[in-house]
Amino acid sequence: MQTEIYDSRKPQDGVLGSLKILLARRSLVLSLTRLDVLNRYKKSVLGVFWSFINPLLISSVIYFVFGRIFNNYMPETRGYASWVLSGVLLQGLLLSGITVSSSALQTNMSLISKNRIQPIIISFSSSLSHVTHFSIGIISLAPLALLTNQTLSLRIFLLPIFLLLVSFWLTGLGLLLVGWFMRFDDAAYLFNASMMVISYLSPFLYPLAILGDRVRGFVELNPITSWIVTFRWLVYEKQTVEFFNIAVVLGSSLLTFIAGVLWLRNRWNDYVML
Amino acid sequence: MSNSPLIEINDLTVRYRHYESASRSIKLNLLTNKHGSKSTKAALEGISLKVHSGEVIGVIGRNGAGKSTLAKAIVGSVRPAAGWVRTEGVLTAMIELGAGLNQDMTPRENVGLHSAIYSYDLSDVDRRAVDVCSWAGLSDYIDKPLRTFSSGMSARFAFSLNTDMKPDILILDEILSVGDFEFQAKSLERTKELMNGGTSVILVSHDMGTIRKFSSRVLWLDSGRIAGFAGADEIIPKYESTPT
Repeated sequence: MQTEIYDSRKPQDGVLGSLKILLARRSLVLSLTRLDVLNRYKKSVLGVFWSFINPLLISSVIYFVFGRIFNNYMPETRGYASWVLSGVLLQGLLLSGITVSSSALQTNMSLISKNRIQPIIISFSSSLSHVTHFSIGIISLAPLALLTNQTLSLRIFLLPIFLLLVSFWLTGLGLLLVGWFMRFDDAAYLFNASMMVISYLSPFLYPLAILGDRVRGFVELNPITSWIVTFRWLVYEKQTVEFFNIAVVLGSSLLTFIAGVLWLRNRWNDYVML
Repeated sequence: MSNSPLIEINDLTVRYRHYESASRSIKLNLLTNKHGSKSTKAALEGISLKVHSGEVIGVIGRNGAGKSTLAKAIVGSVRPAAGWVRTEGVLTAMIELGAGLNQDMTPRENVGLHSAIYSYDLSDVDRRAVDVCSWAGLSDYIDKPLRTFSSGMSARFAFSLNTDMKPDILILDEILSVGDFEFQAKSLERTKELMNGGTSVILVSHDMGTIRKFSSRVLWLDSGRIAGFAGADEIIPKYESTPT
């Protein structure tokens, strides 16, 4: 059996090193993800059903309030109900996912600082667990799409790639924000409030077509818009996407992951000592 | 394994960022314009030592002397600002009471997590969990969340879990002083067995009796620097006679 050697003179893991760690320790990543998913449902009375019920409830309220207005912007399908559910699901994934990814490092600091376990493993596992929770919620889209005459696209089979990109994006943002969350008690509150505003400046609830040119241009620049548009393009047959949106999804995912890894490499001691 | 030391530390310095503002509110920090005030502090400075197979190094010092930071540097969870740390072999650490366990999980689940971290056979988790809990006298609590445990029960479980795998290096930070007399005697017996089997132990404690009884050499830390490193009979009287 090979002797385990730790040598601090070995250069710290950069972006490629972190990816290699995730690949080499994939069984640990999957075990942590599994434990996290089981723990999440164990704590909830409704268990896995909450993944369906929560977005369905929110979407129903939005549909009953805004359905009559926004259905008119979808004359071909009048499928606002399932369309808004896809937005609600993704909004939940992106917003709470960042907090979950950051707080995973915070709550597992005792585990990380006392075991030889790289923080990237904890953060990525937590993002994967959140994405798994979202994937279960996606199942609720199918019956609603059928009822509302929305045809699902075969592009849905590309969703695992999209979800992997989401995981990298959440991990990167989590690593960038964890220091703030650890140092300041009100950081999570301020962050959630800001993200809520940013998410309302994206078409999760309303079609882009209702916006005037100036506002629409502004909303299109919001990266969340590209994530939502790309997701809907993957799920629904009649949705379109521009190259710009796909480029933003790819670019923001990879750049955020790189920035998060490099930031953590420089600041890790400060976090462990906090 | 070679005859090289299991732990080698050379001129180790660990620094961290210290924030001047005591407030934990972003809003208050912005309003009082203190958000930029920070300085770098050294938690450890110029530490060098070698630990060979079967040796027990007692680490003593006042609160804030850098004992736990030294343990974390050996684990590899804090990175040196200067100097280096090298360890050889499987290392397990019990630093502070939490001891790297997940409080929401049961002992059985924690054994699963521990096995995954140390790349153990995951099909063996149930047998390992039974063994670990049986040694710790917690067989009836194998499926109860750790957060419902007393500090003594947590310490017993953590000790049993970390020593069950017979590590090459074992770091014990104040863990032995938590449990009752019976647990202390039992855990010291297991520590002896591990030492005889070649395990190197870093024993951090304020209990001079334990340090004197077990340590081959004692490292005295003061404000992050080595104040003394020799046998227990030489170091402990000097340490105890130093005013705080």
